[in-house]
Amino acid sequence: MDDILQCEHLSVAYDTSPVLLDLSFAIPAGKLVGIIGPNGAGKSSLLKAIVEIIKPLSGKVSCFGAPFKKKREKIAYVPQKEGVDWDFPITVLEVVLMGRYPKLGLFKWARQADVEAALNALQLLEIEDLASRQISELSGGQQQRVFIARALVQDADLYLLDEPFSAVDAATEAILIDVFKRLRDKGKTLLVVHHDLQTVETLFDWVIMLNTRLVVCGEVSSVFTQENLSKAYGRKGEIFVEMIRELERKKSGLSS
Amino acid sequence: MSDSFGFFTLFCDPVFRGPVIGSLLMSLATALVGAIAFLGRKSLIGEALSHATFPGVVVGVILAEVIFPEQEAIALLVMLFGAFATAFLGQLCIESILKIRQKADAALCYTLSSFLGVGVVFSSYLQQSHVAWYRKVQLFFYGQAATMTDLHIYMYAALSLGVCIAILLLYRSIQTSFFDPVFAESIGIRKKVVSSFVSALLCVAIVIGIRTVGVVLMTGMLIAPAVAARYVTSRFSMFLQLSAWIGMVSALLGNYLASEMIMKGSQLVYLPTGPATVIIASGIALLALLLSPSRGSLVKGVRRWRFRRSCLIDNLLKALWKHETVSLHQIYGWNIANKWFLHRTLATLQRGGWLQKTSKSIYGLTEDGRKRAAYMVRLHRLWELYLVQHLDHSLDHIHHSAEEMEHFITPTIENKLTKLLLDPTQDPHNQPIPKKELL
Repeated sequence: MDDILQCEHLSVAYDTSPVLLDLSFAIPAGKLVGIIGPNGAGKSSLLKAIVEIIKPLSGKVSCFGAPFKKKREKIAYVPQKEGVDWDFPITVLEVVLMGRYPKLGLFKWARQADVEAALNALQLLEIEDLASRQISELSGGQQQRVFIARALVQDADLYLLDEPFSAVDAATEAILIDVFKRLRDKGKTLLVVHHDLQTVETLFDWVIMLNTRLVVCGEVSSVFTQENLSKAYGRKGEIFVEMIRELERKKSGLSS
Repeated sequence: MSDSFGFFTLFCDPVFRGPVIGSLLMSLATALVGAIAFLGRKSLIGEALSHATFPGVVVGVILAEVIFPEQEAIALLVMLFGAFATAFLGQLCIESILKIRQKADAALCYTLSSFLGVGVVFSSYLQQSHVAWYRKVQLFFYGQAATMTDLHIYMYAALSLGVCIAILLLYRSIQTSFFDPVFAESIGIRKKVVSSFVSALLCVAIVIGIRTVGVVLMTGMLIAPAVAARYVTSRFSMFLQLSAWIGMVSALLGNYLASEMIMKGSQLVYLPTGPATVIIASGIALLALLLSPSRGSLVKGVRRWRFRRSCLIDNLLKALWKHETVSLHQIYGWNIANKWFLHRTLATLQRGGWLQKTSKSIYGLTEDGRKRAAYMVRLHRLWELYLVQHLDHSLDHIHHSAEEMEHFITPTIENKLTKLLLDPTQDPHNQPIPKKELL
């Protein structure tokens, strides 16, 4: 299978300080990919550069072998929630329907099929009973589910998710993981910015490790190693990996 | 309403037709654009821009009188264009001040006062040299619907239609970009582009509005319908529609109010249409603020008061439960509430069949009252037991929490507590917990 996403010598800077330097990697189809790295490593910036919200300093990104603009409809992006205006008068259903706007274009209104798709997505995320609520009445986890539902109705082939698990409850996390795995099994590709190193091995097939530069990109089983982690996280990371090892030994009864 | 003057006269009578239909169209456009400006936090920009139109009006009037005398239609167009031009200049002025990193409020104040100042200087000059021109300018300052003609109807109909079409086309871009700008960018909706379109619409709406309500009161027409609508609904489509309706109803009522007074020829102060419309729109906003079912302050206040009263009733019942009979004097002694309130509550309880008077000023619970009170006591003691057994609270801290919680415990929670605590019979203070079966 061809690579779905390709970065070639991508560099990104805010003002003058670089956040991403000379990234080159390629992601094959049908993978659940975790993007990890310390704070300020440029994880969110990578996603923003892919959807061309920030302009790269140099290098290029291609999605499905073409520039992003030509393949916009095949890509769904779920940003972090801080840009959202929670006071805006909008219901959950209206938010989810936004996912259909790229397909509808400027002049067509949402059809019954679009509404149906939105309701289905809400049902999949188990919040169909909240459809007519105002978005700010929901809990943080429920809000996150709404945004995932919006991405689902985009019917994309590549999903870019910026920290979907941050500040969500356990029930939401379980549902999201289930949805992500289902998407992967349908042959979709997901890039997920992720925080929690402990769950990387159980969640993802692939991992991109960043620290302004690319540390490594590849299958979790072969690249999620202590050596690479300490490259990405420095000494702090080393201690963390040691702790994980210790935890595993204790759990499996190897040490007392 | 007098015999010769009906509501529908407003739409047919050649004298009233112009002002009424003109201001209906005007308020439709301004309310819709105002609603969007309100959501985009551009209310104050609207205020600054409406004042910034004034020098444009003055220049427009002068140009029209000099170049196209006696040509009403072209003169009107020139005036409107002048107003639009300086509003646009005002917009540029605000933006360039913001670019050199000044504070937004400073930029708005500066633009508002400097543009208005220029306009007032020009118009004062006219006041001395060309009084007829000055009168025309003044129309735009405080607004005057009464002198609008069929020509205005056509002109405003065209402009309002344009604004409505623009909003329909931009509907989804505005919704997405205002609500979640980062996501909007990812699907190709540029925040900057949307914002510029909204600013342009704002200028057009203001130009449409100033003839009727005037430069000074313009923002009222923009924002008041949106404020009212926002209190009533949380759905974007409904919010826009409601704003438009509230704007139009205000215009209609404002015209009606103003014309009623003219028709009756009463000694009342002459009521200009623009301010009447703005006052009615603000009145509707105030009503919504007080009475909205979900967020109205009056409604919230009543709900709070009702809850407080039901807590007091619960407390009174519990206190009565501990005695066979009590005198009014004793009840006053418990200090549950003030005398007047207690008196009324006792009467309510009596009417409800919870309480009976055995003799003068001696009260006792009825059988039903006893059951209800015992249930409250049960909730209280269940909660105390729960705190001690499951949350490790010490005995001396639990009463206070239970006093509060007993008012919130629903039957479902009560069932859960009963199950969790294995249908207990004694509370932590070794007091009996009234049985459920008996109730």
